[in-house]
Amino acid sequence: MTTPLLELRGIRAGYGTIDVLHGVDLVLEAGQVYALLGPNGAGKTTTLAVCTGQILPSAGQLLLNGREVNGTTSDALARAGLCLVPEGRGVFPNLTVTENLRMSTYAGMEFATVQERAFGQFPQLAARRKQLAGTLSGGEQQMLSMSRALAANPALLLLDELSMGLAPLIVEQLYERVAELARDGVSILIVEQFAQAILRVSTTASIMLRGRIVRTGPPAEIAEELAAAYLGASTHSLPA
Amino acid sequence: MASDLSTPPTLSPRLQQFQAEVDQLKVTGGRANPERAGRILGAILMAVGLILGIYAYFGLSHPTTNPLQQGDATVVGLLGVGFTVVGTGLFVVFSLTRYFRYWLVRLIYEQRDQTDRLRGSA
Repeated sequence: MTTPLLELRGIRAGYGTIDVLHGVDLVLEAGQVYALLGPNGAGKTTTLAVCTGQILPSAGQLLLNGREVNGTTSDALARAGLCLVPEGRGVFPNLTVTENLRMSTYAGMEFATVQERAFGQFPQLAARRKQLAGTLSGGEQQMLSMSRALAANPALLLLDELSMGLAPLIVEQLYERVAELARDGVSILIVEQFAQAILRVSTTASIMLRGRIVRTGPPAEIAEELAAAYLGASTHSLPA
Repeated sequence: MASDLSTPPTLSPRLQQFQAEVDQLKVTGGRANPERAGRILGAILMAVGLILGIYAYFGLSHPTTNPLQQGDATVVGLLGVGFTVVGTGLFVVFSLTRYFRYWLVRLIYEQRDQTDRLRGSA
């Protein structure tokens, strides 16, 4: 059995005095597309914030390749290859597409390489290279956000609510790209509230409720149990 | 959109590089709420100081008329008072730090929420 690429063991974390995660256990193997599903307020985004070092856990372990990395800074993790595409399109709205891409050269990558990768992945961005990012459509902003993360050549990509506010067709296209990335060997952890598109490309899925992962299994099984979980079934009634 | 992703790929050069970079990460083992240790230490010092003070009076000084032993009791009692003062100071400082951290987080959250609402209504 190989060492998981990313592992959370009994993670407790929150904001100030309020705990949001109450002992999260998660294992992401290399090459997996892991879908973390749950209703609003379940703690999905907080889980990603812990994974990327933005929030320090009050208890538990964050492991990368079997090594505990609690307390490591976000930029160090990003340089190592753990990249986050944040919720709500993490672009600089008052900068152009090209300038946004230039921002991702922080890891020491050549700007030409960044552009080549970004426009190779999302050709429609090339036509809008001089346009302000804030004036792009929602889908294009999301593509720009993703391309910035991909420019850093991530080994582990974390996607937060990729589909938020986007038309189903655009969501479908973005998840096609996610599936291609996974085939190229990038391990992916996706957090989503709406599961339709994500479960078709994922290899493992979990349901998160009230700061705990209550069920993990194959996407097909999780899809069947999702409605019950979202509609307020007791966490104890779901099989472990 | 069916995908065949069930078989994990073999360890790619990128994953090997990732492993090497993770091994080189500087890990501080940080925990949230770093004030917690200070507050606990403060509370312990307060309690220890109080116990020392009571013991100095009832255990050392009160049962004897020996001025030397009463002098020792005074020293122990003053030590207890010192512990309590320092402990109270630590407890108050770290409690306030914790409170202000929470207050700041709340303020940032509300500002972001307000910005999102403004952007949404525009």
